Amino acid sequence: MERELQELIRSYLNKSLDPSEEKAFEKALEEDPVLQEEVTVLSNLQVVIKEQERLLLKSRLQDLEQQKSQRKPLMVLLIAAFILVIALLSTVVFWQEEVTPQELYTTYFDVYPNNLRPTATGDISEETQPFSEYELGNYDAAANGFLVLMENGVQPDLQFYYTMSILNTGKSDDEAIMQLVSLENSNTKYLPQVLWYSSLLYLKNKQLDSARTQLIKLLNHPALYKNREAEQLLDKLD
Amino acid sequence: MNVLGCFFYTENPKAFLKLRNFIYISRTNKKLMLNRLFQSPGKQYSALNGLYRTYKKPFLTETEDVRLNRDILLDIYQDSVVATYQTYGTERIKKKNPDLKSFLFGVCWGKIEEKIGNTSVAKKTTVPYKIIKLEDTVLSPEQKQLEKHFIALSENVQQIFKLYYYEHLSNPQIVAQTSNTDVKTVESLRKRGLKRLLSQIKK
Repeated sequence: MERELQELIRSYLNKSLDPSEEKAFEKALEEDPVLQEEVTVLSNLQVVIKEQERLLLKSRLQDLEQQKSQRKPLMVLLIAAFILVIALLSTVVFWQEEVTPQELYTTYFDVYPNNLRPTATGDISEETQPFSEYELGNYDAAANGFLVLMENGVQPDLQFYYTMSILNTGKSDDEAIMQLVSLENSNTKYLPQVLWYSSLLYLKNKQLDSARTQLIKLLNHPALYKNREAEQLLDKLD
Repeated sequence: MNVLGCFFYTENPKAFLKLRNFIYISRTNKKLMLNRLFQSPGKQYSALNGLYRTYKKPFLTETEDVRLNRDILLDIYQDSVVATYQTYGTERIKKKNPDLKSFLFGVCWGKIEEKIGNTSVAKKTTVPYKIIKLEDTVLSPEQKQLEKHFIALSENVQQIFKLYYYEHLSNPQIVAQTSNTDVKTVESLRKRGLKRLLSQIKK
């Protein structure tokens, strides 16, 4: 019976009684102060619970909004960090790419070896002396020796080593360029080397277009001498 | 045994039985019960968050001409979402029916009007919703007193009260949703809790 009464109270509070039942219940309420008090308390309790739920749900939504606004600065920081990293990487790449022609020259230049008259046999003669000096790194002496050898007539291959000697001293780039231009029109077997070293010299003197032209000529030459390096240099010059 | 129960049974047993059957069979509150049935807190919050997120941007867009700052508008929107949630329940919210949006925006505009006055609703076009004005709940002194006593009850008993009188669940459903093992325990706890509330209020 008690259980049924509780269900009845709940149905009344829930407004699910039909009008006649509701009327009968209200009449009973009027006649029973104990029941009236119980129903009043339970009715108030519904309001209290609803209000508690409202506050809880509201704070839930406020938390949701707060979390979102807290995430925003984090997102901004992440984006800023990302942009910074990209900027740093770009700078590094930029500086890597922004190598000066002089640095390129230093990177790619190496002394051309003596393969015309190797002196390893120890047979030193007037003809081989400049080559010996060349191998020893005495390029001034080597240049003078080559000049002596060419007193009776210019021999393109000797002229090449003379030019290399001047080039290796680093004292007279103009003279070296002039000699290389001259050699380019000769019948030297060192034409690919002439093209390569002339491109490097132009590079050293910041004559980039001339350097490019020489490199292209080198790549078009049937010999494969320094082709890989020539391609790399052309890429960097572009 | 309650006086009303005795009165009904002795005066008109047929009417009493009819009424009891009505309670068990009719269930006009069935929909509401089902709405809140088997709702874990996670599911409840998910429905609430879903409702909040779905209409937040449309609401802020619609109210961009209103002379209220964003924080106040958000506060209004939050109150309106909670009111809608408490009116409709989780399942109906999930269906996102047009009535739901009309109700929510009607409540929103009602609250905006309360804030800035009827004539000041700065909207380029007319409000396309029937404005709904819901009164804010302000607890009476008695209700505040009751709240104190209610909070003093154990969490388990509070939960039983909430599920029984607010969520309208049956005792077996309450058993299924709480840590209580059987219907008798639930009934006993509710009965004792109610007795305690009544006695404390009388003090």
